[in-house]
Amino acid sequence: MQKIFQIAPQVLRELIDGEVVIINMQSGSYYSLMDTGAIVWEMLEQSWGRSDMLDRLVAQYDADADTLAQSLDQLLEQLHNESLILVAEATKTSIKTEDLPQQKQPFTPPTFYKYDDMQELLLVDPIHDVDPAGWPNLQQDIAA
Amino acid sequence: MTQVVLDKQAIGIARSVAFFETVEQAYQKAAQNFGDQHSQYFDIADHLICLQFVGSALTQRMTRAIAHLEVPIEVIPDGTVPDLTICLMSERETGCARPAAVWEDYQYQRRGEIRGFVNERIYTAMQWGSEALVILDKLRNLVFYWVEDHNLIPYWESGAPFQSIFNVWLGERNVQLVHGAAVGCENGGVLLVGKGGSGKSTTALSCLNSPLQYLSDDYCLITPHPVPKAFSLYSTGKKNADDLARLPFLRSCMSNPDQLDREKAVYFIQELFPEKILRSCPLKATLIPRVTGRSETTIEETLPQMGLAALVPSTIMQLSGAGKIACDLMSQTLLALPCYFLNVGTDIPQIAQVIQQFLVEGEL
Repeated sequence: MQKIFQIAPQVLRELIDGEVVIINMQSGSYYSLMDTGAIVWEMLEQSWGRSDMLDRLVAQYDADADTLAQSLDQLLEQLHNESLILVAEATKTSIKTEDLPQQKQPFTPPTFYKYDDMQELLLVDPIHDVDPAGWPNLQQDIAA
Repeated sequence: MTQVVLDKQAIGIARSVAFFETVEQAYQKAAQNFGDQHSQYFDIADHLICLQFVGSALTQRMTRAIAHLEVPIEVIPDGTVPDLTICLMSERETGCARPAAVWEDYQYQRRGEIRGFVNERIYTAMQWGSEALVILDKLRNLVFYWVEDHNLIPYWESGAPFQSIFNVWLGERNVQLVHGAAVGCENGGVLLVGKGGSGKSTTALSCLNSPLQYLSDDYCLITPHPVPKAFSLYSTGKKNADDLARLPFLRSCMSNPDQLDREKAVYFIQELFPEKILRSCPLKATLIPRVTGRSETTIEETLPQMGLAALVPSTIMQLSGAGKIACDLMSQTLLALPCYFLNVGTDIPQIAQVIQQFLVEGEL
């Protein structure tokens, strides 16, 4: 048996420019998944089991299985802790070997951001350039 | 543990209020020194909003898109207190610099909020693009909008100003700013939802050439109480430059024909078709446009949850300050309405005809 996951019923999501935007309607929190995270979410949408997901990542990415397993488990734990996915049990695998990617690509760890006005963030945004007074630098290329 | 959290919140509020007061004092001093001040009033979703300007550089830029909602000062009874006052200043015009930021670089967030300076009393954000400081005291219903250089306000902000303020302030009054279009007539209209490219703008703008009226093609306000209702907010219409051929009656009306290499085509509907603007209407349904490539436009019933799924992510992602209140208001409104796919055809005049027939014949 392997763990399988379901998207929680209070979750809305949409793929916008390669980024999975996830909303927890109960809390109002908004999340963003990119890179490998978006691939993992796609597999979660199809109720893939954890083992199947790892097989897919191993087939797709040029990284050792331990690194990929660690990244995957960390992401699944974060998603579960944020009540975005539910855990169930499955009795069989759901993918076939021929469904796995045939060519490997460089591995970029999943990026998972939480945006919530009132609460602490899991990760913070990239730092913006600021001037000596602490204000962001004006974007001079934006013409009125 | 709870006490520690409460203390932390109280400290955060006190720090935010102190910064707000610093901005307020600096603004008052700058306004006094510069002199030239004037006010304009607007009816936004049945709330009287006052814009107070120091100088004139920001007036046209920040009011053109909401001009259809202006309330002449002569009709406002003496002694009326606005529901919200927004004080605006351009450092370039007045020579008055805003106070230095009291936070660190990492506190700037993706949608503009400044971490640690957003709480139940104060909302502080940067308006990305113009890099304007926006700070709201919810207790005093007072906002300061302070931009370094008014010339750097991008066209998309002039076309949809004060989004974060309207989102946060109106949300607490059961009115939600959403990324959606709306068309209809006084008896009833439809909310059009979906991400960019789904056909919202084409559908809404096509109604200008029909008996239907226009509330919005991109952002509008909705409320679930007492019945689902939409309010017009911005009278701007926007289309991608490579999509203009679909709406030939608008071809000569765009406000920025020489900038289409880097901007969407922008129309100020109030200036072109003032009679076509509808300020509010009860909502009868949610429509999810989807471009089919076929000639004819059709309507197909689906679940209200589909409308919610099409509306919420892009709204939350775009609007600074959107959170639980926004989710609740969108849920309450859309789950109370029937929902349909609008299969948008290539015969543009037929789109409005189908919506009008739908509203009149009332499968609703």
